[in-house]
Amino acid sequence: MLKVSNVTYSYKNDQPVLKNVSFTLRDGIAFLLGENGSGKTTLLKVITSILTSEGTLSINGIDSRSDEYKSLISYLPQEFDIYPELKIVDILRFVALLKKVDKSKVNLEVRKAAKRVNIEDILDKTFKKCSCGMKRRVGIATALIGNPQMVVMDEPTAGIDPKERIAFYKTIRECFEGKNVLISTHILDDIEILADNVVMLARGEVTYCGSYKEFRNSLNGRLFQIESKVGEPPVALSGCRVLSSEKQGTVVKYRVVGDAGIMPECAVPIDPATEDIWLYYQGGKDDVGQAG
Amino acid sequence: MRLIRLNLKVIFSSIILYLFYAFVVLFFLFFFIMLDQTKIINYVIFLDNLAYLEIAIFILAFCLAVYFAQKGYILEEICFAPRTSCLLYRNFALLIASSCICAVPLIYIIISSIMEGTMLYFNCLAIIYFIFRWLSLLLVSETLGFLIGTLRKNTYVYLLAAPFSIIFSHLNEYFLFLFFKEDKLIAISNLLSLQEPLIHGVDIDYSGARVDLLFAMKCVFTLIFTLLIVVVTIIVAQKRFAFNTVIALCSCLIVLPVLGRLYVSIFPKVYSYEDKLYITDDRSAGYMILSYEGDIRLSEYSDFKCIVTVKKGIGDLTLRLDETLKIHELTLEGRKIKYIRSGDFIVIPENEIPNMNSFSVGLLYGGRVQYRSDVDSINIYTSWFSSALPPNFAFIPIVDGDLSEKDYNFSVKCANALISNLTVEAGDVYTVSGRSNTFCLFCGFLTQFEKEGIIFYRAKYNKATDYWVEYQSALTRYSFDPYTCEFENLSTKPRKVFMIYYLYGIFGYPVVFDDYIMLNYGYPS
Repeated sequence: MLKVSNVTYSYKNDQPVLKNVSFTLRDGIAFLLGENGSGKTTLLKVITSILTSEGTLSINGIDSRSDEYKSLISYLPQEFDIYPELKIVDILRFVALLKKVDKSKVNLEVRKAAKRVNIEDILDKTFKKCSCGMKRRVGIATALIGNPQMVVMDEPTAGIDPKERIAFYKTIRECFEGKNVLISTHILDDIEILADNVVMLARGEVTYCGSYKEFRNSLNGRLFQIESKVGEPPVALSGCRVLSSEKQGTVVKYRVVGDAGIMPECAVPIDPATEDIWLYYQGGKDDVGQAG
Repeated sequence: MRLIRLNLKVIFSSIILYLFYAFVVLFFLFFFIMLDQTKIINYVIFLDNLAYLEIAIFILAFCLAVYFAQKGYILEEICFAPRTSCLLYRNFALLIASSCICAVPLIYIIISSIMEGTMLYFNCLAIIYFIFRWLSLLLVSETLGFLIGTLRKNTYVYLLAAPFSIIFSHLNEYFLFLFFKEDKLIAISNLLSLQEPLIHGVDIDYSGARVDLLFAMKCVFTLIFTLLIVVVTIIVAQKRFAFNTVIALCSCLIVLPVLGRLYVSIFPKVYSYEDKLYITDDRSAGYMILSYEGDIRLSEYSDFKCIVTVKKGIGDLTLRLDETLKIHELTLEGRKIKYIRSGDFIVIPENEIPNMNSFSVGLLYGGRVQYRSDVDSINIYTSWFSSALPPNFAFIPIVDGDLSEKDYNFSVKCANALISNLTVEAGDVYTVSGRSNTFCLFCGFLTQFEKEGIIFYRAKYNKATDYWVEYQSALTRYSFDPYTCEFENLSTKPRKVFMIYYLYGIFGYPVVFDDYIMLNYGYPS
């Protein structure tokens, strides 16, 4: 279990990137969502203690300031451009050595990790000769070494095609069963394939932390569509939030969140898409009371 | 250790390193072919003269360091290795990998030493000297390149290799002259340059590789300078001023100027030939030296114990002893007396001199003699393995204007072969004795041969000079009289010829002393 309490971080003397961030993540695969610049990578670097922040972090009760903490985490950065001239077996060996795996167990650990991600046959290939998908697998293998309790991945599927992405998540599901995995992404399809939990970050603050099921259902029965003609006076809405609007010919369609009781008669209930939920937790448009 | 192993693996897996090796070897071969090997005196002098190869190595090593500094640290990052360690170990691994180029001079020395038949001692000195010199070059260029590559990730930083190679080579004198005056300029230029000192000077062929105090001082200076760059790199990596790094930074900044000052202070001084070697005013006032005896230990800092028997003259007794030699004790007839030391002169007041026909002056003194001529050749000096103490140079007390013959009897301890105008008997210590009006001592990789009744002294390892031809050629030129400073025809056949000496202000003319010649062979008449 990862516990983050009151984490604040700022680069040099700039505005804080993370503002008093607190959440708790139980075991399972969690997604860290947020727009570009929302502070996702910074939060991941704070969790992995690459960056030192104000506040406290712990994994299974072990504080981030202890030496043991780092041995509990594996980190897969966004750009996994590891030394291209090295053979995969050497990369894995050095990862094991640097993670302070007992020297006598290094080869065993490397073979075990390679077997789990199915790269045993290409261990003697140099990294630069691997396909994109293979490189991702090597990344997962490095994360597997050292038997971590928590795995942190920064946008691991950025730039890979859907087929490879599905295969990648399948591997993650298989390899990190029962572990705490935190993956940052802004690809919404990823969440539906894999997420157990979701952490939503907006402008350096956590706007949602909980199960994906609750996240997915959080707008059920509360999302409506209101149509109005272009140029007509707006429909007054009190206690509602407009998530988005779309102009279609002479008609503007608004997607509005609010309780059914306060909606005007013209409001039609609709099924929320993941984008609606995203917009809702990102703050959507400013809290407005009118549409049109 | 793990980070070093990783970085060594990364560096040795990179084609860039092998290109670096290839370029160094190619440049070396280029200079080897371009320089006429028949004119190369010995392999030490050949390696010493590879100034432009050293500049090329500096540029290549700098670029190599920039390349590896700009490579990412993803593997280390995912293992949470501290950034400072990542930088330092990569820099260190790079130094280890690139230092393999030292095999080039090493292999050349081994092959040349077999071909030239040089002795082990000579070869060991050469190996120490050139390995340290090439390592110094790599240390500075790579730590500097690494720092620059860490600070800036763009490709333009490679261009900085050019200005830095100028600063750290003999080319620096072309801009240092804007800041320093003549004598300091040469010393500071040589301090910053990672090449041989006084690069434009003529190499002395009997000294072997110059493993001396100046070289040792330069090595220490380079090491501390490198440490300073490393500390700055740590600060860059940590992005803050940690207490320990600030202490290290301050220590380096304090030590460097001190070392620099020491280097400048021991740097060979320029001398005036008239003052040190040739014409001097007559200061004898009737005093004449009858004999010398004592012990001499020749080294970088030499020690002398000398008892001089002097025939009484009138007034104060003025002895000349070179200013670089400090007097520890001076006695007259066994008792300590008051005297005045001013520059090269020791003045013993008349009232201290006993009323005797002759009396003895005992002196204990020592110091480091290092003088260079105006062509930047160090030709009066003493080092651990070789010394050049020419005739009339006051390494023993002399009386200016006293040209009489004296008896000499010295025990001389030195680390190499010794020759003199007097009779030299080898043993545990050399005994140098005889009667002459001058006295010279040379120590180094020297040998002698005899032809037509003349003893020739020469450098042991000189494959380029035909000494007999040079001697014959010298006979066709005017000779130089060191007392009158006039040129004249060589009238009598000398007993000994010292062909070990390069320029010392007489433009290559043979200098004739009583029964021997100092011959500046190899210089155009």
